[in-house]
Amino acid sequence: MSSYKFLEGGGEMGALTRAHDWASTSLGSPEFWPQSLRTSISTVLNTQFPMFFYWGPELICFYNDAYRPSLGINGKHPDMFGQPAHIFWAEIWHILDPLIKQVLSGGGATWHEDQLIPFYRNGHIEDIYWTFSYSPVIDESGEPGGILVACTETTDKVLTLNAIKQNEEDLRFTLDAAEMGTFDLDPITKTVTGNARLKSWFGVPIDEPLELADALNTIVEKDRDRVSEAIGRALSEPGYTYDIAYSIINSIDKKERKVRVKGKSLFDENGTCYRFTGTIQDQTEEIKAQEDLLKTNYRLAIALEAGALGSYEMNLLTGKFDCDKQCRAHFGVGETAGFSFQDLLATTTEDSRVQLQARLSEAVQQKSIFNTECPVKWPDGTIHWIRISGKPNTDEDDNGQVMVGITTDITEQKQLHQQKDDFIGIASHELRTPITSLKGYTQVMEKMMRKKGELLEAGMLAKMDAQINRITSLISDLLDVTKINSGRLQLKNTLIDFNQMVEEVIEELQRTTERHTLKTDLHPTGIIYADRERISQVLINLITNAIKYSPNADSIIISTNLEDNQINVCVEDFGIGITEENKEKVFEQFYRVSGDKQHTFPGLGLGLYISSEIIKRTGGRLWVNSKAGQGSTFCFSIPVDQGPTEPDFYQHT
Amino acid sequence: MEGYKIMVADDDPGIIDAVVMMLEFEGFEVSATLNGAQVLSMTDLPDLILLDIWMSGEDGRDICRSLKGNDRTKNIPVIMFSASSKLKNSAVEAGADDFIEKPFDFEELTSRIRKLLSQPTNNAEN
Repeated sequence: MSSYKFLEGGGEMGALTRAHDWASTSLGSPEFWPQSLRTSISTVLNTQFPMFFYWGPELICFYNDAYRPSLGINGKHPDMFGQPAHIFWAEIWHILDPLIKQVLSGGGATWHEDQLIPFYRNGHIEDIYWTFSYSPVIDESGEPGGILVACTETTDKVLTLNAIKQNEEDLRFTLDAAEMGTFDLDPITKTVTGNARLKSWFGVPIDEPLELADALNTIVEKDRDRVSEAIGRALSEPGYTYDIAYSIINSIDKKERKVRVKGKSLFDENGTCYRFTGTIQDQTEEIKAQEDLLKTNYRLAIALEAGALGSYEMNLLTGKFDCDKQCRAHFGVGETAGFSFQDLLATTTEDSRVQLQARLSEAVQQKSIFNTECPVKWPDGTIHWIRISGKPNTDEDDNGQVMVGITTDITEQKQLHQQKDDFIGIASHELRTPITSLKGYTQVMEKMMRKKGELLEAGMLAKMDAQINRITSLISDLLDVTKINSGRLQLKNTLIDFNQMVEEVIEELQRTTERHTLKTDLHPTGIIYADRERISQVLINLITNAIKYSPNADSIIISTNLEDNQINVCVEDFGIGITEENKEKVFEQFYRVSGDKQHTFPGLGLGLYISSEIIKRTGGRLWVNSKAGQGSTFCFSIPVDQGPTEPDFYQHT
Repeated sequence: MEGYKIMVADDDPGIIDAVVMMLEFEGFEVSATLNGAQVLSMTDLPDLILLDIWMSGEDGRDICRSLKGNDRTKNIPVIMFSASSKLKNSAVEAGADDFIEKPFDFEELTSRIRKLLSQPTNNAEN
């Protein structure tokens, strides 16, 4: 191959250009190349500026050593050198083709800055940014015969700029999210620039600058000198840490804010501060919340002390148990001694321990209030009653569930309660003695009168006897309640014919009412093992209530049946009924019909409470269905027990 | 039932008076004492004893145990009574033949007395 002057130099690309087999391309051997092409190639090969060059109808591609790095490795270089442009730039031909057409058709040179032209290099399509110009090269015919491309790759610059923009945006977002104000003080002009938040806090419109003097005036008087001095140091002492808290009062809305300000100053080589910049945080709410919390804790501590309440916290997962001074005192334990939950359990009786643990796990499972009372034996041997209550909670660090609660010494209450029960027990015993005599005289007198034929007097004495029975039954109720409350109500079971018992009760009660007819709907119930007296008592209570609370009705229906090994008994009346919200209350101790009717119905309000407790002892339940104004149906069900029979002389039918 | 002798022991004069009146009305021959301990030293044995449980300074159950532990008196039926029904079991344990809660019905008391008096074991030695 002969050598041509115009192909000299040009380093690697010069050598490639000289070695290329041009004769087999549309350009033909270099010896036939026109002068315009020769001049252009020589220029491209010998410039240190990155250049690309297209020539001829097929736009054969040339480029120089300075351009070469932009093609990367594992890409177009060197195989694509000398190829037509639509092959060289196949993947981006849709971008370049219009540019080239524009230039070749006489549209003049193009200019592109930081334009994204992604193409294949380094084994994949890369995002590459370019600043470049396509300019026409006129051939011997006077028309554009090729295109000279002067270009620099600006990928690094663009990516860096993008990253900076992104960082700025992130910072703005962070400041915004943290609800921070930013400031930038120019020490020469003494003006502050800042974000919208800072301006609004200092009461300045967003488009107006904030003068340092105005900013200082916004600060409350007591803080002003201190802040002023700190700013003075920040502007004069390199390395000074500006970190200060103070209050500002917005000049427009007069709102006070407690702010915390951190800043950093920049100094030039002469040691002169040229910039002081930083952030401002509004801590008003935070400080208020802290103060409120302190106040609440303080109040709580006083309340606990005033009420002699101990407090404790137990981690249900780890068993870690914290118990304060008063709580320890309740268990007779000193302030410093080790005291675990196991130690606590050991202070009480077996029964109370079982009850405590059962109630604790129930409260944890149902996330309900935990409450138990237990007798505690102190190291000195004395017995104290302690009530422990609490509520399961999830602790702040999410270390599982904790039980938080209080302890109370209820010894005195227990003693008072016991005294009350004892008193009622004794009082009822004492009341019964004269009633026994009274009843005796009345009954003997009635017999005497009847014998003498004085039937009017005899009748009056019979009524007197019935009234004595009422007093006796009221006293019995009081005694029953004390038995129930102290857990001493015991059932004395014997074998009874259930329906027969029901019929006997009905027969007796039918005599007490002239208005009502007691109707029955009895299905076979068989013979069961139960406390005849107590079950009769419940039935009597339900029927007398039905009579009492249906003064304008004329019938009451009593039904029984046996189902799933349970006896069900219902007493239905057509009286005043019970409102929905009072349905459960009627089974409470001392509850009586409320409102304006309260005084028109006699009674202590104990009957249903006693009945319900008796039925509970049998393992059954007592409930009511009712509609106010239409009547009530009280029912109870008791499990059938055919248990062992015991000889019992008390049974007399 | 006429002719049967019944002894009543109770520390309350009101009870004694009323019970004596009731039983005499029914035709029993009644003796009474306010001091429970006297029951143990009686010479003329009754056919049945009505015994209160809580008497001033005396526990009817102790007296009942003594009566039942003595060959001379062990076959005399004893009915204990009290204003506390919960004492029934302990009365049975003390050997009482029956228990009745105060206040009681006249009919109830007399029917129980008759029931015990008509039982052959109790009458055998009288």
